[in-house]
Amino acid sequence: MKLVLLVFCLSFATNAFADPLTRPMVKKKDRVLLVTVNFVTYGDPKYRWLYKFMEGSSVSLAQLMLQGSYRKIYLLAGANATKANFVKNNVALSHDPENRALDTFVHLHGSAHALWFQDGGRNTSDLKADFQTNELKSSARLFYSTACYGSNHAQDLIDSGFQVASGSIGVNADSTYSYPATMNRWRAHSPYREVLRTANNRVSIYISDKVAGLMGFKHVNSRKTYKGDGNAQIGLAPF
Amino acid sequence: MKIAFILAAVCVAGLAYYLASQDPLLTPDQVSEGQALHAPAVAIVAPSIQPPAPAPAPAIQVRALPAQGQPRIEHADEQALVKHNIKFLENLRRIPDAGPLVDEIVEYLKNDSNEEFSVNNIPADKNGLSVVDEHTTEHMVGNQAMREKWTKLMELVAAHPEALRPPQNPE
Repeated sequence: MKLVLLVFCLSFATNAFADPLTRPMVKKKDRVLLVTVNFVTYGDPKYRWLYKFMEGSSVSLAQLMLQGSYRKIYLLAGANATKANFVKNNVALSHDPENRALDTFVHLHGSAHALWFQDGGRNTSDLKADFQTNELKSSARLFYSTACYGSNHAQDLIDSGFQVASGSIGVNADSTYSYPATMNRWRAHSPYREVLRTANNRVSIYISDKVAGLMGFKHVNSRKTYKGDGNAQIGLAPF
Repeated sequence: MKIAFILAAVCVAGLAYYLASQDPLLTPDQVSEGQALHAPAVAIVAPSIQPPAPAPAPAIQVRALPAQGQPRIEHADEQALVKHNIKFLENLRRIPDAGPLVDEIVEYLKNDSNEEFSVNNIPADKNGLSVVDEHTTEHMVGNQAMREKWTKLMELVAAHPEALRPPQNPE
């Protein structure tokens, strides 16, 4: 009886702790980040200045906040942010043996089940098919998206090979808070579920979504969800 | 007896860790489906993608423009957009010293017809890939005076991300 109890307890304790503790660490020299940015091409021309501001801050804030956490930060921006380039470069970076962890940030317009690259709207199921054909290696870890409806893109990105993927439930209006907040917690080695909890600031979302609603945006819901492994951390290798 | 006590402690610790690792803010439905609160619904009319079920009043419509041959996103409620000013950048002003920089940069961007400020100015390789380094901002913001303002604003944001958190009483 004691033996059964011992096996049960050890099994339970092992399962509860195993996940984060048994994964190998990845240091800064093992990590790369790919930032993909394009808001201007399909943004309302009236707000071209705003979208340029958002594109610029997506790049500059990633550089300032995360350059100490990655060996290299790569950029796919503006006219270069095509679907083909996105797939090709993610695959190539994931295959590089120097890169034990590849994180991907996406700053694009989004609609239900589609992301808007330079060359147009593309279903995320097409991305999944491309990644399955070209085989994204297991170094692919975080897919972080500020695109509208990123939440319903996430499963396709998990099926593509990313370890964890997140995005907003509806139109996303609170990136000025949630993007720096996400990077701040991520670089501090928080598990992704904790990163998301911080980014989902109730007050920030309330205010941002109300303002966006007044501006005429419908289906606004900046609350983010994730799919995949909430234990993913910047310092842990993907499974 | 001691062994039993240690085993019990391990069990309790394991259970506590397991419960703590569950996210109380997200229900299982939200996590697994990502659309429990509001089903997103946007009509897409573009030859290359299959449209999801159209909504009665889509937030964003995409239509083909024959003149350019490319789909574009339009925001539906133009009157509301005109009536209300952009407020997305308001919380940047909560950072000390950031307000005047935001105003100057926005004014500059509104008149930047020569595209001096653009991510398209950052050089890339044949696969479209750039490496973000100490020259990136120099390429992206051609105007030196504006580049200094931009760099200062971004440094303020990066140094004080917690300042972007809104006040606790949204009302």
